[in-house]
Amino acid sequence: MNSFPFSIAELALSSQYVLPLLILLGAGLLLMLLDAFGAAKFLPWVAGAAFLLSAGVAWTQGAPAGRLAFFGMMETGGIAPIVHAFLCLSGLLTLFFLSDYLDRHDRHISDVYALLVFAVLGMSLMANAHDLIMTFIGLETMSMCLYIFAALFKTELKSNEAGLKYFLLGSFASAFLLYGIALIYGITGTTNFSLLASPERIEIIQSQQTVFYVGAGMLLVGLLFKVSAFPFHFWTPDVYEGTPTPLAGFMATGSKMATFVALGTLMHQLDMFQNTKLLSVVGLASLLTMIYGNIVASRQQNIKRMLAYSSIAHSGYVLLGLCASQSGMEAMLFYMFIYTLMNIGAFGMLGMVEHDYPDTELENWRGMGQKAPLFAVAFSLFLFSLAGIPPLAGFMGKYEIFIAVIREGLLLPAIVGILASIVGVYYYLRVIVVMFFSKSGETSALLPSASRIPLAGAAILVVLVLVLGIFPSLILNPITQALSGLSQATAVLP
Amino acid sequence: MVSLESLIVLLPLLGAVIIGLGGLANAAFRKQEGLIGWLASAMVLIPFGIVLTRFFGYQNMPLSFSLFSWMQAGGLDISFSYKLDDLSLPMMLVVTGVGALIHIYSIGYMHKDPGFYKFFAYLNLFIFAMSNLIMADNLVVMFLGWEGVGLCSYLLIGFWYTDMIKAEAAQKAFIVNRIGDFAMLVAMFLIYQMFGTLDFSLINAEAANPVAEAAGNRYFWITLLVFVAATGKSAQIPLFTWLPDAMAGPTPVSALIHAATMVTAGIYLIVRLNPLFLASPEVLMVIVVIAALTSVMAALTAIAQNDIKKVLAYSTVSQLGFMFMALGAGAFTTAIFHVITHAFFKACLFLGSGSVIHAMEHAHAAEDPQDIRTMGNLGKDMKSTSLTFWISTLAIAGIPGLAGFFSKDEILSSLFFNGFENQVYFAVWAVGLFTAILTAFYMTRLAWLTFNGKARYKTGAHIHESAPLMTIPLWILAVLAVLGGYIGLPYLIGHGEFHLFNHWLGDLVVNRDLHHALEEHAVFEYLLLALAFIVSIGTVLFARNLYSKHDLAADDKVKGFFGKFYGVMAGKFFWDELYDTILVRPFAWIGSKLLRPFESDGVDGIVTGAGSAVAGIGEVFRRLQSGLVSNYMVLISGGVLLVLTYLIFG
Amino acid sequence: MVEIILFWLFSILGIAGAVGLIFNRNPIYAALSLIINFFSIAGLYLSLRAEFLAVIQILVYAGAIMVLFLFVIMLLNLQTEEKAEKFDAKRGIAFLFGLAFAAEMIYALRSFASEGQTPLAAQFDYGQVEPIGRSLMTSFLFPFEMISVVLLAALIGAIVVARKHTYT
Repeated sequence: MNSFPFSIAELALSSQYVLPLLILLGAGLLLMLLDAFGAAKFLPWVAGAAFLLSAGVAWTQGAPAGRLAFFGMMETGGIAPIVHAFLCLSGLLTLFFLSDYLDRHDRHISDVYALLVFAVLGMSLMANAHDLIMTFIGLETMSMCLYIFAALFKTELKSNEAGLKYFLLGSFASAFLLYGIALIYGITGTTNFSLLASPERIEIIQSQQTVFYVGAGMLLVGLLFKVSAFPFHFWTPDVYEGTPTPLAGFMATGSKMATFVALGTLMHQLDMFQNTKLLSVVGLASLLTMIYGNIVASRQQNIKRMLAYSSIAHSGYVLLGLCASQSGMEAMLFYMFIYTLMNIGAFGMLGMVEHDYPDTELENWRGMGQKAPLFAVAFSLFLFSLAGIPPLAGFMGKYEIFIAVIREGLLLPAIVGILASIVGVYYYLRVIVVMFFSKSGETSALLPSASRIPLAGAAILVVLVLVLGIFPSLILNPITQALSGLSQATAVLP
Repeated sequence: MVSLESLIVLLPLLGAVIIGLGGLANAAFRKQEGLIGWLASAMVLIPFGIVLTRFFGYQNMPLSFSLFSWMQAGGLDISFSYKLDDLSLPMMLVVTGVGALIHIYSIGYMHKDPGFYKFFAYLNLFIFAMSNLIMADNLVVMFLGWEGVGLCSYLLIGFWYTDMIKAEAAQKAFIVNRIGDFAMLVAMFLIYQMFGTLDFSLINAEAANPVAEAAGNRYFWITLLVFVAATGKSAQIPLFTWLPDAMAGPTPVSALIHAATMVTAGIYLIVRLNPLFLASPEVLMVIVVIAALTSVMAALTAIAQNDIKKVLAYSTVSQLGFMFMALGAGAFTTAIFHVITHAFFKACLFLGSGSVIHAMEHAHAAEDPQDIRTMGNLGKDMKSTSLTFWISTLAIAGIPGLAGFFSKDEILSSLFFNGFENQVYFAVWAVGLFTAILTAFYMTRLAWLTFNGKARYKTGAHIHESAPLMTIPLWILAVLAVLGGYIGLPYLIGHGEFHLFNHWLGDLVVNRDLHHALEEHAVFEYLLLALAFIVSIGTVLFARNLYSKHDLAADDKVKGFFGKFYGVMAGKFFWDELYDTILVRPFAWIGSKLLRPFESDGVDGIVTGAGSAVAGIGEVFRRLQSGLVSNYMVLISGGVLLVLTYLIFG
Repeated sequence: MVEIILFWLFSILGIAGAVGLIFNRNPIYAALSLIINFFSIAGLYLSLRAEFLAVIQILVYAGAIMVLFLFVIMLLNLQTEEKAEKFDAKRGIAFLFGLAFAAEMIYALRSFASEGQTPLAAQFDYGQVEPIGRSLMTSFLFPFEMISVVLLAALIGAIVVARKHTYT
């Protein structure tokens, strides 16, 4: 307590450090006000500007790791700015597709923009937390918004059910997380990362192995649930299917990135998590997740569900990367960035045609290659990228992960991962096959009827996926730089 | 930064992008067949010219160039860097040369096809990928090309597919190739782990290091996996089944991708990594045995096929087997030699078959324009096609003086002389000789039934020779099929002094040294040569006589000769059925049965069909109780229990 | 000694309340069982010298939230469930999992007392209003403020989900 003396100067400095977060907070409130005063059509633009501003401020604020704000609650140096920028980007990209989607379905739910901003705020709180309390609050903020997203089209059965399911299962998982935190606090008397890493705490933890394991295990479970790792993934396909498609893309990317960063921070910054047993839990979950996600995805007849299962599989790869010390952290961030691009792109484009090709059933997509060739080509690019075909960005992501894992000497898991990703190619390919190799006879517009904004979004994403496949260092270098300040820790996995 | 060499890589890509995007965006552009065709051809011809000048100006100094640095991570710097060296120059000559011819041929062949622009965009993309594969200086760029050619091949196989069932079949090529890719990736990562680099020259330098050699078979897994990858790309047992199916694509594609270039990528890669392979004799043994089996099996299958392209496809598998036999014998340069001669005559054969199919289709001469049983005597109306096809047939049959003779004889003799070190090679040699006899037989059968004998197509159909745009490439290839062999005269003549090709490659590619055996048992060299003379000429004459006498009925005699086994040959040795039983179905079973309990079902059963009913509170509760949520919770609790139990007690 | 008696009393009551909540077919009884549970937990807090927490527990949970629950139940006029549910395989498994989980927790927490160092919780003095207020305004200022975002989001969510769909 006394290690954090109270002072106005400290508060001011802290506020300055967390300025990107405050921008989001202010923007969220502003959005609610604007909505109340009937300026609903400006909301997406305001939200987008807020994301851009917040990301920009964060990006320029870079600092070495260890710049803590608010009495050690938040990390604002190291990877924090870049992670924050990435999260803002996932929100921004979602915006491209969101309002068009709502218009198309005649649901002008203007509250969604404020929620989107709050969700990103929550993600950033969670990812850059330096205290387990913050991790939990961030996670809850994020989850609360996601629950509402799932239930947004409440008059539709699928959405209604998705919201309820996600809420119940999410609370179930949060309970474990919270109990885990409580147990860790019970042993150590603190939730602060710096204090948890201090020698006397480590000594206590070592003398209280059993309780620590229970606490840490529950903490892991709570986080693994959020990234839909096997066997905590059950909610994923149902929830994604019910969620409005662009928001499902947001769920699959932003929230996972935040959780992975939180998990990675725990695993690599706290010595107590540098533990063979905990790592093998993550490693094993990763292997099962990859295998399970890929096999089950290959059986799906609905593109949205297929993408949901594929997002489970992708979580598996990232978890594998997390087992591989700091280069794994780097690979993880890079992968999640790439994944954000291609997955929001895929979900967004799916949402664009959901109205004309109902229910995202694969069967209804026959002959898309003839009906809307440019659309089909762009969608195929995202799928190829997800499948990890070079030279698209997805390949670079996987390559980074597997190289990091191999460097760590984890040969067997890497081989399983490669094998699983090879299986994965099949189901992405199937969609392409259906689009291109079945003649419907009709030819028509190059693109489905969609307004310009989502089209522009898709175009930007296509270019990014292509460019980052060829020039990955554009993103990889800043990540490496941001990470270089972190202390290095080595991982072990039997 | 943009050197002239980099155009070799960049121009085909540029062509693909311009044609692809132009065609997508502009309907009028799609109609400009001449523009599209010649633009695409130019994008291959110019690189061919550049490679040619580099080839003749080659000073034994590899030309390296790098476009830009791809990525730097953890001390590993991967660049888009390429190298034109002893090995990649001749390969690039073949790829761009034969590629350009096939581009030009396709302008005639694809005339009026609705997907004209797409076809040429894919072809250019293929040349780009293939150049990457061959010229790559490191494994990652090589892999980019490796995947790229597979992708193009897949796109082109499915080019004419219109219904789902066939399209699903087209996936086979891709999926089989993915098995190969898996092996390739693992091999790549193993190489990284062992050598700490993915650079070809560094890997080879390290592997050729005598100290490293002493370490025994540490390359066993790497080389084995590379070979598995090669079996996928180059259609060997057990991953060859996709190649015959790939014949569904347009014929120029079969000529370019599935005969002359892409399928030889596996051989090229093994030659590239030859120091690793030389250091692992066990794997070479595996290669030679698999290759011999593939080769003879494919040749036997080819005898019993009636589809002109299927015969050629199995013939390709069989010839690829020959190349792998050469690899297995440690005769790496010989394998590349056969790759080159094979590219000439097999491309010519495929293009000739394309010309035939084209003619048959246009004259509506038969139900199935590819069935040789409904052809016959086409040579009367198609002089150029017939003549070039026969020349290439004689070349592949190994008639002395033509290209196939030199390379095939060299393979057989290297197998034979390896036999003095290891008896297994004698057996492989015998199998190879038998396969050579079969090859001469089925190719003569094919050519005769197509071009000579009685006309069996619908009477009244008018068969026309194809346009010059198509016949000129045929003639060029036929000339190459005659002359191509003279770059590698047998050892017999001046102790290999006149084997220009070996000298060319000699600095980079090291063969297993057979010098000793060759000198000691020089007499066999004469015997083998005589044997090759007798066997090839004899078989061709025998087959010609048999089919000219009995025409189609001669097949019955063949059937009688093979007895029950003929059914196995006609049934393609039942590989597809085997895979269905041991791979496809178990996988489907895992998906549908084993993982079923862990798969969520979407909307709960009780509310399905309720449509867009407004869900009230009551319904929500009802769903909760009947629904899957509690199932999920039970399963999640199970997961938590497992984790905690492991952590506490494990 | 008194502490131990109180501990057992409140614990048993608390568990009984929770069990009652689950097994009561009548929603009103179930809600009332929950109140028992809340009160017992408040009692446990009290015995741990967390007076403020105990008061808040009663005010917020037993007071506000429970009243709301009862209102909802009565407004919706939820009926007692008619048929008793079957004890099927799933329930059996769930029950077993619960038992196993409880066993593991007991094992782990018992080891807590028996092995190693005493935890740092000895310094615990957050039970009263003043230390709580102090930490909420200093070291926990940021999370304290951020919780308002959670609440705000929940509020919006409640409105989105509950309001009549008047999509314009």
